[in-house]
Amino acid sequence: MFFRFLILEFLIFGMAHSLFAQNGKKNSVIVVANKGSELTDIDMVRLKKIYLGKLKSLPSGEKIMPIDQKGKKIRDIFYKKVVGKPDNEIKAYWAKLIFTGRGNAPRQLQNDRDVIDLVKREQTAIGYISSEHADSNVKVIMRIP
Amino acid sequence: MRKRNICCFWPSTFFGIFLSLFFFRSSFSVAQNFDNLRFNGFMRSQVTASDNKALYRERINQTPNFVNHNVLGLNIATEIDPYWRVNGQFLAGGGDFHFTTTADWFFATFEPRDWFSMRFGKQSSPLWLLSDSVDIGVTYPWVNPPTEVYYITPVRTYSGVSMNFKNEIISENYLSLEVYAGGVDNVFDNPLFSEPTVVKGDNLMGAYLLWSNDWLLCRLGYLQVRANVPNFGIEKWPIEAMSAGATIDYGGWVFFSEYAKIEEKRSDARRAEDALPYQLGAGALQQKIESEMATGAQPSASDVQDFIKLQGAATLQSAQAIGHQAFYTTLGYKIKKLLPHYTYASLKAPESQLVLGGDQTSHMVGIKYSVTSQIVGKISAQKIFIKDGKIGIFNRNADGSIPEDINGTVEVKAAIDITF
Repeated sequence: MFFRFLILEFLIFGMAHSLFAQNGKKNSVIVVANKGSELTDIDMVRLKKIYLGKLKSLPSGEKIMPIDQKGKKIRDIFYKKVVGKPDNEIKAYWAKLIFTGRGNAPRQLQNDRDVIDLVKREQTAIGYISSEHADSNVKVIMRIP
Repeated sequence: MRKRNICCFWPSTFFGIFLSLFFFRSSFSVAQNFDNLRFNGFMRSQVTASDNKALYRERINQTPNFVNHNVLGLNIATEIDPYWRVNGQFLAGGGDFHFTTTADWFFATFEPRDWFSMRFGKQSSPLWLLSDSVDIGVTYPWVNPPTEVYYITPVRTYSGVSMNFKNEIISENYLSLEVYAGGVDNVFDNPLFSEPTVVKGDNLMGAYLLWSNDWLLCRLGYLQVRANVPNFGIEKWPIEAMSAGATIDYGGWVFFSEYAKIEEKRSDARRAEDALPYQLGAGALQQKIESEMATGAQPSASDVQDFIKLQGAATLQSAQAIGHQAFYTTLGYKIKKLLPHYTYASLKAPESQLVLGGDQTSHMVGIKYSVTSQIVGKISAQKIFIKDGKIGIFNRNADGSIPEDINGTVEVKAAIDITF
């Protein structure tokens, strides 16, 4: 009898875990820009170029200010989906540019709240945050599933 | 005196840095932002040893060397406005190339358009494919980039101006052209001399063309300079260098390869003219020594030494002393956090073999292990093959002779590279 309950417990735990995990996955990553930004939407290729420092200006000529996050989880999701490379390769890519003085990596902020605060203040800033922290003070220009 | 200071300085410095990192920070971060001023850093701790007492380039022999190639770099960057930024890097380290704290480079960048930028100031030298990033160990698979190519010349930086043009030619394929001009003023240690060797160069002009996409990078480079290295008797020698290199990072496979050529372009008449004063000096001393010996007297040791030096200098000046061709190719395969790799490298040199080193080939195997995205550990073992009578890039003995039994030398290296 004890073992039946034990197996049942494992099954319930397993189902709960998978449900929890699915709930976690519902929070996608969104890309946000300042409300006054000329950007209304952006495609994956342009986003990738911005976060690799290959595209630095808006069509109007204004410099884009990409904002990065320090949180490993959201960084991993963002870079794997947008750039297609793991975090260590992204860090190595920027290390080469930074330590030869050929580029500055996107500024890194601590969390979604900090990204939203900066994007609200800076007209040319764009950043990525978890969709659960979407804020009406910033404009969503892309949803990364 | 300088070297003693380094030996005391480094263990305490690294100990202090490690303590700081482990006790005062819970994790490494890419950059600390203080409004518009950014600080980044990198560090390498390395040990090397070989099974031979002869000294190889980078001061490697059978005594484990903890001092050379230990490097700590601090990078500072600031954006003055959307078009201007200033970058500087300070290096502290032991080794042949940088043995104290120094401003490695410091320059201003003007970037009015995405496709065009200009830099003014002291910049890292883009002589070969990886020349400007040899200290940034997280960016390549080896403990150190192949010595035959990347440590054959001591030039690390130049002062001047560079212009970079970059354009996307087809989807996510970029073509980049950089032209640069200026002068060189570098100092490095050389075990052959008690004083640091000063390398100066003027009339420096160079360019490189780069084609890159997500997985491929191809590069062609060219440089010319008029070089002065007083320790080696090099005075206003026209030097030309060219290179062709590529990297591939695709489907887990990693490939690096580069061919590099560097030669001095003096005419035969110029070589004869340069050699003449040394030949005359050596001839006069030879006559003096011979006449002393004819009378049964012992020639003075200083005369004999001076004669040998003058004869060596005459040989250097009259021959093509720099005419080196180096090549390497590396193949590796990523298995999760591990990157095992193999490298074949070769160096061909002119007969005189007096300046940059002589013929050799080598085989190297190594493993890079990415502990985290900012910490990598590396080990490698290399076997070096040198023909009889050749010196490879070992240092000569104090009397100028070639060390014995250098063929088949095995060297091992281990390092930890960190960026923060």
